[in-house]
Amino acid sequence: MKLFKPLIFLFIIIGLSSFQKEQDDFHPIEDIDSFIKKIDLYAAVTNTIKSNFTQEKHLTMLEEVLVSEGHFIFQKENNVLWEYKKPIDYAIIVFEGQFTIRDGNKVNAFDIQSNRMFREINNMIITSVSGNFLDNPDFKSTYFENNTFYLVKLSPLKQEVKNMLSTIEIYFNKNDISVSEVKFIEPGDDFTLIQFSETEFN
Amino acid sequence: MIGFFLSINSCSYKHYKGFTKVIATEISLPVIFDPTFKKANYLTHLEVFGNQLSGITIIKKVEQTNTFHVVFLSQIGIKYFDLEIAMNEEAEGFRMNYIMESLNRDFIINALKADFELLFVKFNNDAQLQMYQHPQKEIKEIIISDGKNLASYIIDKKDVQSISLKKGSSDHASIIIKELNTIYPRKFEMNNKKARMKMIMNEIILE
Repeated sequence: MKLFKPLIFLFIIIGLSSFQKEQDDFHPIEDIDSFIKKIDLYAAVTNTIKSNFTQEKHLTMLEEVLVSEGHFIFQKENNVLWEYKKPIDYAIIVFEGQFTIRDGNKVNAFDIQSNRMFREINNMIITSVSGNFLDNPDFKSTYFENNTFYLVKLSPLKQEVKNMLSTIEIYFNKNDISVSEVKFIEPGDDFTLIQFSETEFN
Repeated sequence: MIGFFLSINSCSYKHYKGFTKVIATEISLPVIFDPTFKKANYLTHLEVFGNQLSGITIIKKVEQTNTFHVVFLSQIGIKYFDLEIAMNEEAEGFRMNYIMESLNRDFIINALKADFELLFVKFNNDAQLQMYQHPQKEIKEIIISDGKNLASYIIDKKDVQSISLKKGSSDHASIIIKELNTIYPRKFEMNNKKARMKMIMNEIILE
């Protein structure tokens, strides 16, 4: 999807998820170009986003749900703070091209490209916060809608990514094209659900 | 901790100096996770070949199958690995349900298998047990050998304090239990020398 710019969805991860989405009755979007133009327009007028988030990790086999809470700041162009407050203090900071992890009182900065393991993790983080996978030829995108939401489903094409994820689902509020939640579904049906709330943006 | 000296050759094993062999008709396997254990969450730091990962590990006992299920996740929800160790005699034993591609190496999987089997005290049925006792203190050592591997569990009163594993003539892995409650260890450190892998686990209470 060349129409999407890197980090475009980050501009629109702005919450407004106070109402429950209707999971049913999704059908393919007929006018995809119109949907993409809406996202481009929204991204163009957004410079800063601040939002709280709740993350649920669903482990099917263990019948466990791990809940994390945190805060998220995006500043145009590519500066990101993705900070967990509960259950542990942990933050990922991307600032002027440097990738930093704050783990409690410990701070580590590193070259993301020098290490394959961190590169994979970084890709997942970027996937989480920016949605720039839409600009990524490694994913196949399909588009759906119902009365309340647009739903973008991303299917990985590279085997390395397929091993980690089977699908990424992004739910956009139709009212303002803001992202309400993102769901990362893994092979084996474990999934991570991130819901955004109390969002502010300029 | 008492100064520790282990050496092994084809027919003998040297343990703590001064310890005497206990003659007993039946020696029980050491207990680290009590049978009543259900689940614990650990803040985890993993270091393997210079790479550092952190996150949360869930250890859960599945009663129906008598299986320990271990899942290590990053803070952002990325799963590093998901493994099971069945304790039943007839069960297959170790199963890696998932491991992240960049960790998917035989030496890492073998190290995880060895370390967690040591932690959960998983041995073959035909393993031989011996027990040695400190002459004055309530410290004993249980040695478990299955022919290829030799594990030493140091127990102070009732609590396992440290474990070491030898394969052949070389040190293979060790576990130091730093804090435990009556049911399971709350803080422990696993160090696999062969894989140059260290895993530090500190219990975290999640809501």
